[in-house]
Formats: sequence, C-alpha cells, structure tokens
Amino acid sequence: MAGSSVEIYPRHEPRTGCTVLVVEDEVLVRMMIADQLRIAGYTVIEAADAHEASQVLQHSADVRLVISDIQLPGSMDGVALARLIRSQYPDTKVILTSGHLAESDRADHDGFFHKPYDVSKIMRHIKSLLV
Amino acid sequence: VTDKTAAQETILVVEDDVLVRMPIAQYLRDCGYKVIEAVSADEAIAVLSHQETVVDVVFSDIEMPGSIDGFGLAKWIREHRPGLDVVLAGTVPRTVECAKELCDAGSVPKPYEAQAVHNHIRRLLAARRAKPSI
Repeated sequence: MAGSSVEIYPRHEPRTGCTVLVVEDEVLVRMMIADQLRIAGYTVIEAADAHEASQVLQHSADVRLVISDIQLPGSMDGVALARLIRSQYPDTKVILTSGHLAESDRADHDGFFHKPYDVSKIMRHIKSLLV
Repeated sequence: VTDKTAAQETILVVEDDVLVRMPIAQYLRDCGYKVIEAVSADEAIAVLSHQETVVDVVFSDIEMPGSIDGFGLAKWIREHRPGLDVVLAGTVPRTVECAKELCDAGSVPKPYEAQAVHNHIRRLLAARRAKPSI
C-alpha cells in the first residue's frame, strides 16, 4: 500500500558524469532501464518518442549515448533518430533495440539488442562504450 | 538540496513536455527522491497499476494529450488509489481553482519554481508521515 511500506532501494554507484538518453514508449520498460542506468551512476534523461529525444539533444549538449527502441509512435522511428544523431551529433553513441531482429541493419549504430533483452548485457555494453 | 529523509519516497511526475519534465524530475532526484516519469495520464495509470511499483506522491500537469487529462488522472487516483497524494500543476486560473477540489494542499500554478514544487511535496510527505499507517 502506498506510503505504508518501506522499499529498500539498491545502493547507487557514484555518478559517472555521463548522460544517457533513453528513448522508449513503453513506460514500464523505460522505467526499468532508466532505473538500472541510474543505479550504475549515469545521469539519465527519458524520452517517450523520437521527437522528444531530438528536443532533448538540441537542449542538452552533454548526451554521450542514446539507447532507443526502433518502433516508436509519431513521424520519426528509432532508425530515423539514429540517422539524425549520426549526422548532427557524431560523437554521441547509439544503441538500438527492437523486437524484430531483421531491423538491426536498417541504421548505423553502436549496438543492437533484440527484445526482450538482457539488461545486464546492455549495461556491460554501455559501460564499454563510455570508457 | 539533498534530503536524506526523502531517499525512500517516490514521486511520479506526469508531464507531456519533455523540456518541462526533464528539469523538474532531475531537481527532485537531486533532492533525494526516487522519480518516475510519465508523459501522459495513460502512462501514469500504467505505472500506478503495476503492483510492484510504490508511489508516494503524484505531481501532474493538468493539460495533457491522451484519453484523459490531469483532472481525469486525479479522479482515477481518488477512485483506485485513495491513499495517494496528488499535486496538480496548471496555467489556466479556472482549472487551477478546480484543482483545489481534487488534489491535496492546493495546486501549483505554472510556470513553477522547482523549489516551490519541492516545498509543496515535502509538506505533503511530512503530513503523510504524521498519519498512522493504513
């Protein structure tokens, strides 16, 4: 019951100084991956679609990595977002996720994970990209 | 701004404008709260319906796209999660007036100062801690 139970949160690692942008329209999936990244010490910005993500990128110069679902609502999907990032923010790493394996080669990226993905594998990959 | 007592309390921030949601969510995290972000009332209901997710306060915009707005969300919470504190934020005076009937300790007019939002939430949580556990 809200307020009457005490939830023990995992201890957060010290902040890494790196900002990761999570782009995912399923709120419970976005919440889960954002939680794991914050526990690992990253600053996390959440976007529910590619339009929000592009707004964040325009206003936050320090996004080091974007992890985006390919299937997103609106006029721009994750592939179009990855292309935009490659052309306008070439120093920003891009990881794409999708339920469809065949979509992995639709855009240049720094990693592709098939849904449902193993969060620990994504976390290791992100860590290796942001050293 | 870190508040050690806030470390285990969770705020659900519901706001459709990412450039408004991002700074207030980050500010509240810097204050020590766990913050969950929702971009619509529909997403907020999905979070609140998730049994494993504990939420202490909902801080929601009033005017939002989707099947229901902030008022609809507050009504849903009153019906399905009656113990949950709700703070609504809005720009139109009439809607801010209506919000007083639906949310706890009045509403927050937009544009808001992050510190004012934090003070509002802190007062609600202090009152909540003072109540006997349900």
